[in-house]
Amino acid sequence: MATATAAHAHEPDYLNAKTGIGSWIYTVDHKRLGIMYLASILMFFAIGGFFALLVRIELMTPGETIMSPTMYNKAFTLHGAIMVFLFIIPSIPGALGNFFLPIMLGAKDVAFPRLNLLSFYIYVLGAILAVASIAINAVDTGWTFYTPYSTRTDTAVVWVTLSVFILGFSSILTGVNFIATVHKLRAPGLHWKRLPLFVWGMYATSVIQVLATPVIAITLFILIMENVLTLGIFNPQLGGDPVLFQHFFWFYSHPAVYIMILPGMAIVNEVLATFSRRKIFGYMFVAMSSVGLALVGFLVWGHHMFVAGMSEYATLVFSALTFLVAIPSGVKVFNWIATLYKGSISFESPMLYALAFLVLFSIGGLTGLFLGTLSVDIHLHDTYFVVAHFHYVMVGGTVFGFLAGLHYWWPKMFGRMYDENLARVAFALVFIGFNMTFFTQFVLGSQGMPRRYYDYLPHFAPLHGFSSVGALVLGAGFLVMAFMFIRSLASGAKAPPNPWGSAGYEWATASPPIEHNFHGQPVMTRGPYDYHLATDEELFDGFPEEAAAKE
Amino acid sequence: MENQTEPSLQLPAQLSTFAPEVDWLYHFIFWVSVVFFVGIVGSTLYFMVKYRRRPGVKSEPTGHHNTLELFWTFSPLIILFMMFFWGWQGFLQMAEAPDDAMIVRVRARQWAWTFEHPNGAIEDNEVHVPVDRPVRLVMSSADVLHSFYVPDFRVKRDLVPGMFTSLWFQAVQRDPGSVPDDAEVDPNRVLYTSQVYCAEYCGAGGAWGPNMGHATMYALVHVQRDQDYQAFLRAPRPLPCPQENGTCAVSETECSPEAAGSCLFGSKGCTACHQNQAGGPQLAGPTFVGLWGTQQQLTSGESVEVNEDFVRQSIMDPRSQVAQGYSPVMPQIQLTEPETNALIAYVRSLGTATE
Ligand code: HEC
Ligand SMILES: [Cu+2]
Repeated sequence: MATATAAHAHEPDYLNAKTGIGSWIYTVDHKRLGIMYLASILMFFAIGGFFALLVRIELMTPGETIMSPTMYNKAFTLHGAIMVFLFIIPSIPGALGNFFLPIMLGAKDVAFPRLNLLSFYIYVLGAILAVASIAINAVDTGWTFYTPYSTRTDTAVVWVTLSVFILGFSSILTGVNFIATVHKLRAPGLHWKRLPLFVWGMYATSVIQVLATPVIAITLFILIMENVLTLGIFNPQLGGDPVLFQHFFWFYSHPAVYIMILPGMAIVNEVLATFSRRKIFGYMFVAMSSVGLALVGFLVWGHHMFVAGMSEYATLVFSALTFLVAIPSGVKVFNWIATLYKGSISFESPMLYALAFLVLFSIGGLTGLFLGTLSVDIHLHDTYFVVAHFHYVMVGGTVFGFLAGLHYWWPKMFGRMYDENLARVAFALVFIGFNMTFFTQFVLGSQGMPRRYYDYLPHFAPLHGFSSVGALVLGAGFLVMAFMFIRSLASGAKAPPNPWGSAGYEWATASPPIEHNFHGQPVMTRGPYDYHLATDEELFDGFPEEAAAKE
Repeated sequence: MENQTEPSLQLPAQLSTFAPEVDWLYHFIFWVSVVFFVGIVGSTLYFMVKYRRRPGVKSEPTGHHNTLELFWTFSPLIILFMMFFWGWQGFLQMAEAPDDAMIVRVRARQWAWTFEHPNGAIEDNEVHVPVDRPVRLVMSSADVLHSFYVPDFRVKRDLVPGMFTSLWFQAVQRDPGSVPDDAEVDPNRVLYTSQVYCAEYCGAGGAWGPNMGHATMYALVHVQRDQDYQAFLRAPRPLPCPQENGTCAVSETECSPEAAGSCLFGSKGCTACHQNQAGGPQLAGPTFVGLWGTQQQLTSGESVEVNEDFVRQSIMDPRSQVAQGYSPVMPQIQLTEPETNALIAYVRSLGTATE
């Protein structure tokens, strides 16, 4: 790739180009918005994690441990709702996508920078409503808001659903913006077959966001109307159908699973390529499998409802389609492994998270087979097996992918390195703690422990106790990680432009990037993974100035 | 297939005719997964070691391998289809109850179960069923979603307010021959008991205890020999009485109506909405402590004395007289005449206790 990079080394970076609080609040710079998203989602990740710990501590011993059953119901609801709507869905697109998508396209910004700012403030508004609902009377419905419970409880259901309704608009606007950006702002030479896989993943995600989110918006809007005006749409006492709500809800929330996982996969592509110095094996198959997942993801919502009262034929079709999901997921995993083959692999912390993703996502995917199989699902549905399965996909998949990306791009975003040893300690704790917590839950579930239980029968006690200890280890891992990142911001070593020696386009900019990302318009002359075509200068992982001085 | 009547590490005991097949498929998927997982992790680890970065060794550019891609895209379809197909077959069996199945009505409400046998006999939070005979449950819910789940039988089905759902099972012997076929008929003999859970989240009450929330919405299935079960159906059902260990049970010794009422108050689920402890938190319905003999304001504007007639009317037809300040959520609960009398006696005893 040819740019006029090194020439003006002294232009200020995006963090220093403008100053003052107003320069942040009204910014339309995609990088600053990315950072603002990052700060917000990390805050909600911490809050959601806090509720998760409350839940696990309560379950550490049988009977009441630290809180009442009503508190417990609120705690697990808040954990789920915050993690899904305020953390995972906006996490990778909002923070890392905003920051890196334009740079990877060689663009100055997203297609509609002002819309991007609006989308962020809509997110903030939604978040404020969600927090307000906690203060008013925290919901206890579970993050799924199933009717008729959600129309009967006296907790602040209307506030939370309004919040999710509003958050949906943020998601839609980000999706529209990314789609337009990918179509319109690719640098010269960046044709579709050279598109970084992170961009492909963001693109597929955006398509789902735009198509599926309106459905949850309508659903929640009806739910709000039903609560406020006592319409009889879902409420059986007024002639409504509670199962209809489940159809509506999962019509969005199943595709939403792909809104959550595709970005994680997208990051893993980048990290695996960089740390094994090799183009992703079967590039086109991997790119198309994202699109395939996005499409099939729309057709399988019914697999959440196998025991809920659907016709046998609907059940048949949903089960069959569900197995199709395994195909694109499998294709990705096989291609990732093949990428390692004959690579030149190094094991810095981003790579550790990417490799862990491979293992954990495989477990998540394979256990999905149990749940897609009708007769077996009858036994496992709504037990801890399901809880374990989706945590392997959402945490082992998306969150590990997000952490891989955060560690990978941190030097680029903030221009500072972090303590690699500490990062590895945090990784080890997170990896071990996660598996202790959730692998145990597969066994609990297959033994018949139902989910969302405040208490349990004595024979489940040892496994529950072990799982809770795992959660504490996991929590400790995140504390170490937080300390490590904060220390990096305060006193980390200065990062070179391309610390990992990657051929990816985003590493051709300065660390942190200048306000307009590149000097002049970059022209792509090779793909982002063409290590055999990249020059030594492009792959140089130190400081170009120092190298020049030495000569 | 043989039934494995002891729980294994992964799965509960197999106590219905479905269980062996479901478990066979479970283990099939399990071993397929193990093979794939070992393959994935094994090759990853091998490549990690073999191709770790070494000075002077460069990575090789990635080529094109369309045949390989097509192979691993389409070959897993065969295994997936087998899982799908067997799962679907098993599911069909579970969906269609045999015509000769015995029908038990199940009614759920927050947070209790009521079972009604073909002859009209009622049980709360426990149900007796005959072994080796198909039993079909026809289920409904009075309030929110619930789900009837018996892990030992591998059955589960949601209860949806406003509609009937159903499931069926056939319990099998646990240790065949332990009770000889010609053993004397005994309505109280139980071969074994399996646990019933509510598997669909349904909230929790202000206080905590048995049947006070989703997590204690338990019930028990008692499996009996057919002849014992038939005798059980015919046997007179004395009211439960408090036992020395604090629980309630049907026993030889009779007790006062108030005492029996205190047991029914729990097993019929009144505790979910009515406080019976002085100073306890206010629940969805009026507190009974000190209620007897007072004047109750009704939504109709009337004011009535809380006496025998009023309480009986309130229990038997809750919607007819709704107390001021409460929502009309009290379900109609099936009670026999002696049960109703015992409950009234208990409510009276609570009312006069503080006077
Ligand atoms: C789902 C909650 C709920 C359950 C379960 C319930 N009740 Fe009620 N009950 C109420 C409510 C609410 C009221 C007040 C409104 C009304 O009068 O209908 C009430 C009113 C009453 C009253 C009239 C008291 C008064 O002062 O008006 C009696 C008596 C009564 N219940 C007895 C019972 C008994 C006995 C049971 C158990 C068999 C029971 N209830 C189960 C909710 C419940
Ligand atoms: Cu329930």
